[in-house]
Amino acid sequence: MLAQYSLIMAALFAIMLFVGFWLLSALQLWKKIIGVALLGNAVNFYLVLSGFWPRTKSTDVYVLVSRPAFLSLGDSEFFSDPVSQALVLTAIVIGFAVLALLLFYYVYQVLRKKDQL
Amino acid sequence: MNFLIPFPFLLPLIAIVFLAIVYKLKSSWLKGTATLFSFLYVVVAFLLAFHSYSMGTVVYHFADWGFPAAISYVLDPLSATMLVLCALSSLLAHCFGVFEKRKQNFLSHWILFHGMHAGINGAFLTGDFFNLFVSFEIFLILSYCLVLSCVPKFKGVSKYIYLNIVASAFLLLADGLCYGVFGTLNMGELSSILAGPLTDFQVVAAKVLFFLFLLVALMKAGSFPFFQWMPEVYAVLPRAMCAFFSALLTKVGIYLILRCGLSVFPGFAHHFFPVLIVLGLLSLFVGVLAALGQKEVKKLLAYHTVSQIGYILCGLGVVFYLIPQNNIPLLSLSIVAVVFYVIHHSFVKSSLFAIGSEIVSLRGHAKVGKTFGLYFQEKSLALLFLFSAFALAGLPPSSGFVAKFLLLKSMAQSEFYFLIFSLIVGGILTLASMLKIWTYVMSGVDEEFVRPKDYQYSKKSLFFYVLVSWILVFSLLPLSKWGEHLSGQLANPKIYRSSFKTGVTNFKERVQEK
Repeated sequence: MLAQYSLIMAALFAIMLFVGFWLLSALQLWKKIIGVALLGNAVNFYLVLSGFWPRTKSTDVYVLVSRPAFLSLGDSEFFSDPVSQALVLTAIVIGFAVLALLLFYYVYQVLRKKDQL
Repeated sequence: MNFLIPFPFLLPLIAIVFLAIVYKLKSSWLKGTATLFSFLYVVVAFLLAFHSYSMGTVVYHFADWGFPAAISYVLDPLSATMLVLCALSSLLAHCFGVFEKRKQNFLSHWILFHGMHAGINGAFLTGDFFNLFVSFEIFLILSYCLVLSCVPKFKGVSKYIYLNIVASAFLLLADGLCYGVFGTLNMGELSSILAGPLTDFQVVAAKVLFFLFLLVALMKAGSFPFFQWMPEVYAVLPRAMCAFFSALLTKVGIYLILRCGLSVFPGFAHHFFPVLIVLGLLSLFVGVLAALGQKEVKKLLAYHTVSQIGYILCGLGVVFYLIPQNNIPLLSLSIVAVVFYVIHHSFVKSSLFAIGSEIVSLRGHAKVGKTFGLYFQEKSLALLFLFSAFALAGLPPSSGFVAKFLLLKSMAQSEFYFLIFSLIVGGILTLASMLKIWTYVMSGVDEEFVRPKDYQYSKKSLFFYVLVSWILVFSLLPLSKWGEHLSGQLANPKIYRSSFKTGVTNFKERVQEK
């Protein structure tokens, strides 16, 4: 269970990262913007995955529960890790700001060209 | 005085709001208000430097959360040095911008400028890797806005923007790896974990983590494979912004390498010293040879920056080589050499860029190809350029001499003789590229040149720039005392680790009590 799940997640992350870099090397600006978005989302995905942690020696519950932040309470308590979620929220907002700036500039350029024609 | 520690980050944020209001109400007051604020930053930075001189390394935990839970700001001599450097070059750039008596263009840039100041100061102070990412992004998004507003086409600055987006992605990836493997993002706690016993997996993860941080820092510093953004950005920026960018944009990366190598990953840094030395030598020679081939003044100076970053990286390589050897006096000397070179380079480079921009705006274009005869047009400008070029090349009474002397001394004592040889060859090539500017810009006569009407340049502020780069020598006595303090604090990572835990209740204990 664990092995397949991790493999799927790793493959998803790798595909997103690869397509992101591939689009970033394209010539057109709009493809590059999509590449930036994909790259940011790939890294955000990785950040979410980093919150999962083996709680017990039997690794079956690995993917279902994450550890509590900062604490080392007994195994019986079920917490989820708030830190990686908080981190990913901030990262999404920042990535969105960069994306919005690039999109704004793209639209601005297209409109300016139309004005000239 | 600990309450002052977040102010280098908070004051510029207040300044943005205030300046935006002033810009709407009475835009002619904007520059004056901005200068007042930057004067305030200098005062705060010097107060913090004195505080750190008396107290050593101090940590400020936000909102009184306990040790690993709070975002912490660390004030140690290194970050205090960088804060003072940032505040002083910001003040100099403001003086340079305010005294210029030309079109009131680019006024709103000053608002972005203060936002960038906040981001850079946050990056220098923070003791948390995710907060470092956020500070970098604050600074980067504002700098994207600034450079995009200076170019007619996106293509002009696309390398800068894409490179920094990729660097930010790597930094976030490193944060995820750090949290996934070690369960913390706090630099102090991570440093303590890495000093203790580690499993094999953790050792590999720590090496990968350090490599990722090094990669990000090298991208920001503009070392050999990642330097292409530098000439295109510096060539398009307006004058005062250009001076500020050249002083601090690359230094953020150098600071990150020093902080990671010396305070957080001291046990892993020496694995990477050949990387730093090879990349340093490559960027030294590639930078200076590219500078020799350039046809524009500002691009030539930008490639120079690449070669100077090469010098600093070689010095950093020596520092990393010395870390596991327990030779504290030699390690201290090499740390002081690197930090003094960073200070020297910021001031000299921004003075050269200021003068270069002045030459471009006097001449109307930036080409070097034909002789110009600036010496006969503007004697004082030519002399100022000569003095700062001497400071860069390292003529004996200037700050460049002291910086290069310290660097070479640390290399000689740690027996890197081939480095000394290549640094001297690089220095000669630097002089050759300076001579190129001299022959094509300063000497000769351009008979077709028509002096623009009512042209005036701000002699006073340029004079300040050059004066600062030379006066550093006379402040050598206080600086050497400061350097002793700095290297003493920085060479011992235990001071950094323990400073996080003093004077605060531990968050884990507090929760377990409840």
